Amino acid sequence: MKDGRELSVPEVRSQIPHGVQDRFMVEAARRRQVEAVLREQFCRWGYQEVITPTFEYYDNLTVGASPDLQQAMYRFFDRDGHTLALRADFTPQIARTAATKLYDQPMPLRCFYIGSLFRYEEPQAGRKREFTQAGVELIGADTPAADAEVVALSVAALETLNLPNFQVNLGQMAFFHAVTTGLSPESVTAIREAIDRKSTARLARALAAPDVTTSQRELLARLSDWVGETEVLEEARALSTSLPEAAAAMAAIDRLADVYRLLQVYGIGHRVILDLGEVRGMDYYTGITFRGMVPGLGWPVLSGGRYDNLIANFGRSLPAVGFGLGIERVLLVQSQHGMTGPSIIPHLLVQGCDHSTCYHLVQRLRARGCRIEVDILGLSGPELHHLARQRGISRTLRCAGKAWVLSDERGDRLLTESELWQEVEAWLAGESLPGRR
Amino acid sequence: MNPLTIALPKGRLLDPAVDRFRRLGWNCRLDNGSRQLLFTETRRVPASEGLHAERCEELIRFLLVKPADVPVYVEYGAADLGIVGQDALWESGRDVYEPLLLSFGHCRLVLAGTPAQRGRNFRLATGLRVATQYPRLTRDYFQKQGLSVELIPLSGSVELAPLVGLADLLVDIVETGRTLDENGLIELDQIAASQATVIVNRVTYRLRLSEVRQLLSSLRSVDQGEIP
Repeated sequence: MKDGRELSVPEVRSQIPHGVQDRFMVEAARRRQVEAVLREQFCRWGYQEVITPTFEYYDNLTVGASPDLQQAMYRFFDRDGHTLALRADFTPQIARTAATKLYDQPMPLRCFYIGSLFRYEEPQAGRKREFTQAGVELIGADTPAADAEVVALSVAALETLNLPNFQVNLGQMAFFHAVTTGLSPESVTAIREAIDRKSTARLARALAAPDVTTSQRELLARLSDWVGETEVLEEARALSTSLPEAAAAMAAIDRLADVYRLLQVYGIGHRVILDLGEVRGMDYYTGITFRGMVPGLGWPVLSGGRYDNLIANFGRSLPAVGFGLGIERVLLVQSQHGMTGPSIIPHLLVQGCDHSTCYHLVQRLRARGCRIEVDILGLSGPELHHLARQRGISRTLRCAGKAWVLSDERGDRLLTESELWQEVEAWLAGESLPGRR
Repeated sequence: MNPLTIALPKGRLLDPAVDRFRRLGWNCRLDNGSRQLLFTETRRVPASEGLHAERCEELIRFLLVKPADVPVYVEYGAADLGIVGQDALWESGRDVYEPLLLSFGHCRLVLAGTPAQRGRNFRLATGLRVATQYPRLTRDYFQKQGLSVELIPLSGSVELAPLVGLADLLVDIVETGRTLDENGLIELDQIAASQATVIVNRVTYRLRLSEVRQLLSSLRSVDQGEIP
């Protein structure tokens, strides 16, 4: 059992289930770097991490979940016969935590999470059956300022990740709910699906249902056109006056206008497009909804919205707004744009040596931030160079009594300790450290 | 900015689709005999669309793919838009926008069988076998009626299946019904009516809204026979 010789094992040992994957070397480092960048950004905005269990009672995880999402959950039983599930969405877990553990903390609560979700779906666009999501929830405040903060934080997150030319579309589910008040659930579903597919033919059929009033019909036929800046809100207001629930519709538009104005104050108006035709999202959304999109990726990288009724299912009524961002999708976009990961290859491969001065030097270099691999196989000089080349390490170092032999692309040089330190400072300066941008 | 990329389906919808683009002024070299699969084409922007005087020549890219693959290219964003029959779109189950129906490619998805199947009560049948190129739509159709059938997915000549005892029934698209007729089969039920539709990637639609709207509106007018 030595030397990585190939041994005979059942073929299945090399297989992993469809929809999961191993990440290693630079791919693992890239993912951790994205997580670190987001964690730091969320912390800077005053959000604190919540770490929730990977699995819990199925009934808790399905609160507010659409039938499709419930269908996609991995379910299993514990030994007492309870049905458990792997989490497929963080928001119900954060809602449970807020309502049952954190309810007497000073409001509002600012929480973030980073972790794996599990959905039994066909993998698409970087999203496997196990995938990573990072997100925030702002709980206990139902104000335009809360909505705007969360949208602004989503923009800040995409900016820190250096995603090029991204755009955030901002919609308002409360407006759609107000406009469709009084319609049968079947009509609302048909209308919502038609608008969600931008299908004028299907929408015309759905709007022909007898319970749809003329004012509702006129407005809903135009809904998908209202994408742009504040002028679309004016058009929506004009057609809302004769609705059965005109006041609620106006309030929804006013709210959206307030949020949009605040986003201008944040200086990120150019990143945000108003989109009243956006009617997709989690079933629990009750107010603004938004999606972040990047050219070159067919799916949004983040989505979020306001959900004022979800937490009440866990025993306390608390308004909330949040978003989740797909880490693998971010990684996909970053690699499409040739963004490389952090440096993980050691700066230096050091020949094994039993001089304590040599080990002390190595330890001090490591403390300074150098990545150093020390040979433990007793390799000769040529073997050391060969290993360094294979690993992509561009320098080797050998102890030569009171001095050191550094081998790099400039050849072999005999250096004093202080000369070596000068070299080290130059390497470190030439490399941006992970997480610093 | 990259040119918009349009996925076009090989087969019966290609000629009418290409015709729409030619009438919009696009140089289109592709047809069903093309070996080349990726075409970058140009046109001079007509005065009616000349919002930007400096943009007098425009670029567009066409991909030539199998009809069933058009929704895949568009959902992934490898193509921004596509033209495809609704039958292929529904069968694919892909998540794309379908903002514009076009006036060609009309056909119907039907349940058919030998005349002996007429009036048969399928609820009382067991082990019913159905041959089709549309397994997803066929399963949905029978599931909605609470029926569980054995699907036999085939990739062509579905009409043969009931004649040689491979299946009791078939689900396929018909345009005129002549193929059914010539094989001594009859239509038992219409499952859906289909026509060509423009589909758009959900992200492209938002990120390049004005270009997409411009293209949709000119396709709409040329499709309705108006001179662009």
